Amino acid sequence: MLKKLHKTCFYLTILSFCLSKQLSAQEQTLKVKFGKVEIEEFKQKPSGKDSLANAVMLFDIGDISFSINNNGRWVYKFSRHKRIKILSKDGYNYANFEIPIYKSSNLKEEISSVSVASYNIVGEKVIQNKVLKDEKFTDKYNSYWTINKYTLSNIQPGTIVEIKYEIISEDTYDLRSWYFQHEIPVLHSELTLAIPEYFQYKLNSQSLVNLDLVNNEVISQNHSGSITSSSDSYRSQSYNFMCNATKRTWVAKNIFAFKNEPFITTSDDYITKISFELQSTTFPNDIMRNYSSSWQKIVENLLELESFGELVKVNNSSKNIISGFINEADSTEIKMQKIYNYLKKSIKWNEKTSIYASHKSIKNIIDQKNGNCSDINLTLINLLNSANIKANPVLISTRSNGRHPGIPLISRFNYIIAAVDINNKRYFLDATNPNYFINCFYEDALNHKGLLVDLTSKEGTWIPIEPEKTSKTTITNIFTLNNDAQLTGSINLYKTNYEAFYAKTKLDRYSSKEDYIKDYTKNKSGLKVDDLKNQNSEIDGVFAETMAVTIDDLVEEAGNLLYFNPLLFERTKENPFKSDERLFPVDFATPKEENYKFIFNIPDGYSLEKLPTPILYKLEDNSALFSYTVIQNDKQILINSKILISGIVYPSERYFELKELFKNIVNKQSEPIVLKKL
Amino acid sequence: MRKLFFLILLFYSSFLKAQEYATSNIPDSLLINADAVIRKETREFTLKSPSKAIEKYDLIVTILNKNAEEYNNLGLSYDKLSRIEELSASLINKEGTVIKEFKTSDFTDRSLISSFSIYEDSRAKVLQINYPTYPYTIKFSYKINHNSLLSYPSWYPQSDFRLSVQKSTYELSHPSEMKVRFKLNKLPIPAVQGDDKTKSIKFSIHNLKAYAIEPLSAGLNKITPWALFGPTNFEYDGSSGDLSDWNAYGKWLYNLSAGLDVLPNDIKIKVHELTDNLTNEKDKIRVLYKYLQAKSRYVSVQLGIGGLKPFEATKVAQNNYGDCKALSNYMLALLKEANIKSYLTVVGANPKGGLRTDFASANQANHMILCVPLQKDTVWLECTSQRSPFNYLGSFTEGRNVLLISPSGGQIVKTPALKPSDSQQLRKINVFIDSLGNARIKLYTQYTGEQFEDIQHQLYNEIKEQKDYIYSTLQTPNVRIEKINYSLAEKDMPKIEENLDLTLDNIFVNGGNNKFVTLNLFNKKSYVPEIVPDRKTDFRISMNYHDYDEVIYELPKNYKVEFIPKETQIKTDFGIYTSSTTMSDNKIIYKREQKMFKSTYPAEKFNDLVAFYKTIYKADKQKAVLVKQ
Repeated sequence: MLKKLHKTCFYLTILSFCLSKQLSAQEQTLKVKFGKVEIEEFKQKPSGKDSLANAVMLFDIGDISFSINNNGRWVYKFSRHKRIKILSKDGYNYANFEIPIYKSSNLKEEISSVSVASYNIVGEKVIQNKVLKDEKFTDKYNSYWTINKYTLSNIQPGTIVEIKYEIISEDTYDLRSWYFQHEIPVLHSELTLAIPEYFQYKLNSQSLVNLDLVNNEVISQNHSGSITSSSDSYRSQSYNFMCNATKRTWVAKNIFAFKNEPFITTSDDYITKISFELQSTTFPNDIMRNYSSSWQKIVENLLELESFGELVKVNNSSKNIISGFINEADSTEIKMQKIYNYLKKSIKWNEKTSIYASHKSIKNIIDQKNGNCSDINLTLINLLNSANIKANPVLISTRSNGRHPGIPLISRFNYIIAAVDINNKRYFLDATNPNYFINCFYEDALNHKGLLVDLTSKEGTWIPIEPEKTSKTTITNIFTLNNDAQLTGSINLYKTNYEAFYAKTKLDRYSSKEDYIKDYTKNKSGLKVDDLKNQNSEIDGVFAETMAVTIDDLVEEAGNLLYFNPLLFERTKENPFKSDERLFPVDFATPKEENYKFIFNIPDGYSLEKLPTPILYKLEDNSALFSYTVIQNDKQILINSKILISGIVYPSERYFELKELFKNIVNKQSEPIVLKKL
Repeated sequence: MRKLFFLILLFYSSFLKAQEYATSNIPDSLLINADAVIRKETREFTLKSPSKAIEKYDLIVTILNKNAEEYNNLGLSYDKLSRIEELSASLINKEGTVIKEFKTSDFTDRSLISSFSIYEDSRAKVLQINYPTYPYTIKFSYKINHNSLLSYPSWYPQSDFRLSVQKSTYELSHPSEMKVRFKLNKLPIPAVQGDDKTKSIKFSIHNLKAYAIEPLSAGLNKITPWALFGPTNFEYDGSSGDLSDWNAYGKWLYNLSAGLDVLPNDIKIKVHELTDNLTNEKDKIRVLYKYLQAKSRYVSVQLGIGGLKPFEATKVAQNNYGDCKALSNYMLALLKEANIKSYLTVVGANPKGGLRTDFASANQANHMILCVPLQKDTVWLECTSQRSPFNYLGSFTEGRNVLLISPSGGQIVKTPALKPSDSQQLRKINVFIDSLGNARIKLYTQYTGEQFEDIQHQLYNEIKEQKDYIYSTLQTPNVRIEKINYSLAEKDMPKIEENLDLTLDNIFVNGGNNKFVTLNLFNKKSYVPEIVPDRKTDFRISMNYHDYDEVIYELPKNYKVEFIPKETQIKTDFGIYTSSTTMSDNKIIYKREQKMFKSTYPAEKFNDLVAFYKTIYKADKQKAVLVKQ
C-alpha cells in the first residue's frame, strides 16, 4: 500500500514540472452540478468577433471511463454535461438535443441516464423547466442508428439550456472524439479520460486554440461486480480487482466559433478536437493484442480479411475472366488498358466509399454489376495481377473524410485506388466511373497522399498521389465583326486531364446534341451555335470541340466608338476570394491552367483605338501567374490571357497573394477592345 | 414427350414475357426528348369501407440515361395507419431479361421525418438499384393496406418533363353504397362498372410523348391528363367526417379543434393586463401577436391525427412551443380572451399553392394561419414566425385561396396579394471618384415585402455572415465593404433599410484611350432565357416587384465625359422598364426602374418576354465613356 501511494506521488511530482501553467488542475477545471444555475451565468456573453453569436456554450464537460458490464465485456462510459445560453431567436434550435446511439449484432450502446432542462429568470429567481415525457422522441433512423431527441419548453433569448447524459458503449475500439470547438463560441470545454492499464490508445489532437493538459496522473481503480453467464442466467461469477489507470484532463477556454471557408478539404481537418484509436490491449492472462500498432500489422490484418485480402487473391476464376479479352501477345500496357476498360464498363459504382468490400468474391461483384469503391478497385487489382501486371491497392482518406493523421490508423481510410507499376513507371487507376482514365481518379480522393499496400512484401508505405499533370483549358476564339455589330467566328475548346473529365461528364448528361448546345448557350446571352463539330471525347484525358457561332448584343456602341470584351463569355467575373480574412490553407486539389486566345480580324472601315496594355503578374515563388499579351499584325490582333496555378496548397498567410492575383485577373479581363469608325 | 413439349412451351412463353420489356419495344416517338419511359404503370385502389382500402401498384420504367437516374431510387412510405403487405423490385436489362430480383428484406427501413419536424411517425422502405450501362428497366411493385383514409391517391401519369409513357392505368373500386368524387383533366368521364355490391371506375392512357424542359415553365398540369380522387365519407385515425366539399371538410376540422382553446388562468390575466387599456381592436391584436412571438417558438411533432389536430392551448401556454396548428390555435385563444373573434385558416403553403375551388381534398393543404376579421379590414397572422411583421403574409401564403374554419364549416377566401408596390427595392447610390479613378460608394437601399423577406436575415446575421452575403450578391467585383448597417425602417412593417459604405479601387475600365464605366453598378439583369420554338407550356413570372435605382457619379475635374447612353423605355404585359442617364456639372446621374407583374402567361407570348428581357439586358450593361485630360 505504501509502495503504491509512493508511486502515485512520484508521478504527481513529475507532472508538476510538465504542466506549463501555474494554475493547478483544480483551478482550471470546472465543478458544476446539473440543475444548479447561478444568476451570474445569465450575464455571460461572448466577446470580440463572436459578440453577435446566436448562442454561447457556457461549458461542455466530457468524461470517459472504463468498466466491465454484466456480460464480462469491457465497456466505456461517456458522460457529457453541457450548458448553452441562447442569445437570439436564431439560436432556438440549440434547445433541441439529439443523441445518436449505435447498435449492431456484436456492438451495443445505450443511454444509461439523461437529464435535460431549461432555465429562465423570473423576477430575481432562476426557474427550471425539466423536459417532459412527451418531449422525448426516439427516432429509429435505421437498423443501426437510433436518434434520441429532446425538445425544451419556454425558450426565449436569454434562456439557458442544459443536458447531462451518459452512454455506455461496447465500442472500445473507437472512442467518441471530443470537439472543443463548435459552430457557436464555447467559454469552457473540458475532457477527462481515464484509461485502465490494459488499453493503449493513440491520441490525435488538432487545435486552433490553446489546449492545455491540466492533469496527467496514474490513479488506482477498483473494479468489482458480477458477470452473468449468457447460457445460464442463474450462474454468475463475481470479480474484484485493482488496476492502474492513466487519467488526463484537457481544458480549452474562450474558444471562438468555427466558421467554414471555401477551397478547403473539410472543416474536420481544422476544428479543435481530440480523437482516439485503440492500439493494443494487454489483459492479464492474455497475450498482448495489437490492433493498429504499425503499418505492417495493419497490412497483415487487411490481407487476412475476407473483405479485403481474399478479393485480391489471384485464382482460376479471375484468370478465366480476363482470358475472354486479353491476348498473350498484347503489351503489358495494352493488357492494363483492356482490363481497366472492361471493368469500367461492367460495374456500376453505388457511390459508397469504403476500403472494405461488400461482396464476397470477385465473381459475385462481376455478376452483381455494382459495388462500392473497394469492390470495384480490388477486383481491378486482382484482374491486373492475374495478367501478371503488378498492381497494389492505395488506401486514401478522401477530402471530405479529412486528412489522415499519418500514424498507423486504419479506420481513417475510406477509399481505394490501384497503383500499377510497369517498367519503373507508376499509374493510378480507379474504375468507379467510366469517364476516369489512367491517372485521373475520384476527385474527392485528391487528398495529397495515400498508403500503398504492397501485396507481396506486405508492407505499407505513404506515397504522394497529387496529379503531376496540369489540368488545362485552352480556348481559341477566332472572330470578325459584321456590319450589324454581330460577331461571327469559331470557338475552339481543348481540355486536358481533370478538365477533360469534367467536360465528358457534362456531355454524358445530354441525350442529344441540341440539348448539349442549349445548355452551353444558357446564360450566354446573344450566343448562337450554328454548328458543333469535331467533338472529340474518345481519347483519354483530352476533350476537344469546335463551334461555329454568331454573337449578338455583345458589341456596344458609344458615339463613333464600338467596344466589346475580347474574353467574350470566358472572363473571370468574380474574385473567388472575397472574404477579408482567412484561417485555413487554400487547397486547389490539382494544378490548373486556363489559356485563352482571341484572334480578331478588324473589319474595313474601323481602326483600333489603342491596344490594351500587356501585363504579367506573378506570385513571388512563381507558383501562380497571370499574363495578358496583345499583338497587332496589320488588320489582325491576337490577345492571349493565361492563368496558371501550379501550386496545389497555399498556406493561409498566402491567401492575400491569391486574392490580389485574382483581383488583377478580374480587372484586366474586364477591359474592352475599342474600335473607331473611320 | 408430353413433358418435353410442356417444357418447351414453358420456356417459350417465359421467353416471350421476358422480351416484353426489351428497350427495343419502345416506339421511337416515345424516345424523343425523353430520359425515361414508363412502360407500364398500374394502380388498383380498392376501397372496402370509409376507413379501409387495399392499394396495389406496379411500375415498370426504363431509364434511358443518367438524367433519369432518380427513377432507380425506390421508396414506399407508411405509418401506423397503414401496413405494407407486399414489396418487391426487379432489374431488367436492355434485352428485357430479368437479371435480379429484390425482396422486402432487400429494402432498407428508415424513419421519414421532414426537415422541419422533431418527430413524425412516418417511415419508409427504400432501395436504390444500380446498373452500369444504359438503358435498363426497373420494376417496382407493392401492396399496402390502409386502415385510415383521408385522401385517395391521385393519378398523374406523366408527372414530369422528359418522361414519356407507354401505358398507365388507374382503377378505383368501392362498395356501392360509398360515393367517390373525382376531378379530371384531359380525360373522358369513365363509365361506372360493377354490380350491386361494388362499383369501379377505370382510367387508362397510352403513348404520351415526352415534353422538353422549357424555361420559366408553369408546369405540365394544364396540358397533361390527370385525375384527383377523394372521399365523401371518410374515417381517419378513429374520427369520421365528410369531405364532399370544403364546407364539410371545414366542419370536421372545426370539430377537431373545438374546445382546445381554453387558457390557464395566469395567461387569461396576462391577456387582460396587455389589452384592457387599449381601445382599438387592431392594437389589441398587435399586442397579443407580439406577446406570442416573444414567448413561443416553432417545434413540429406530427403523430397520427396530430397532423391535423392542434395541441390544446393549455399545453402551448405551458411549453411555449408548437407547430402551425398549435400556435394558431393558441393565438385564437388569446384573442378570444380579449373578446376578438378569429378563425383558423388552412393554407397550401408553397410557391404555386392555393386550394382548388372545384375540388376539395385534404392533401392540398400543409399549413395553418389565423384570420381575424375586423369591421373595416381583416388581419392575417402567421403564428410560427417570431419575426414576421404584424399582419404580414409572405410569399408562401399571400394571394391565394385558403380555407377559413368556423362552426358553420369551411369557407374558401382569398388572402391579400402582394402588389409590385408592396415588394420594392429602392436604392440610392452616391459614387465619389477621385482623380486616380478610385471610388467611395455610399449605398442606401430600402427593401419591402418579398424583397424584405430575402434580406431580413441580414438583420440578425453575424458580421462575417453579413459581409459574405453582401460580397456574394454585389455584382461589381473587387469592392471592399467598409461599413454595414441594417435597421427596421418602421416598427411592425416589412421594411428594412440598408446602409453600406464601400470602396472600389479604380472604378474605370481602360479601353484604348478611354475610360469606361458601367452605369448600372449593382442591379444588372444577367439572365435572358433562350427563345423556345413551338413552346408547349405556359410560363410564370413568380413575383410582383418594383426596383428603383438612382446612381449619382461625382467625377474628378480631370475627366471629361465623351458619351452617355440613350434612354431605354419599354412597356409590356409582363412589366415595365426604363433607364436613363443625364449629366449635370461634374455629375452623371443614372436612373433605372423595373416593375414586374406576377402571373401565368400563355406559351405563345414567351418570345415577347425574351425580347423584353433582352432589351433590359442590353440596357443594363451600357457604359459611359470618359477621357482623362
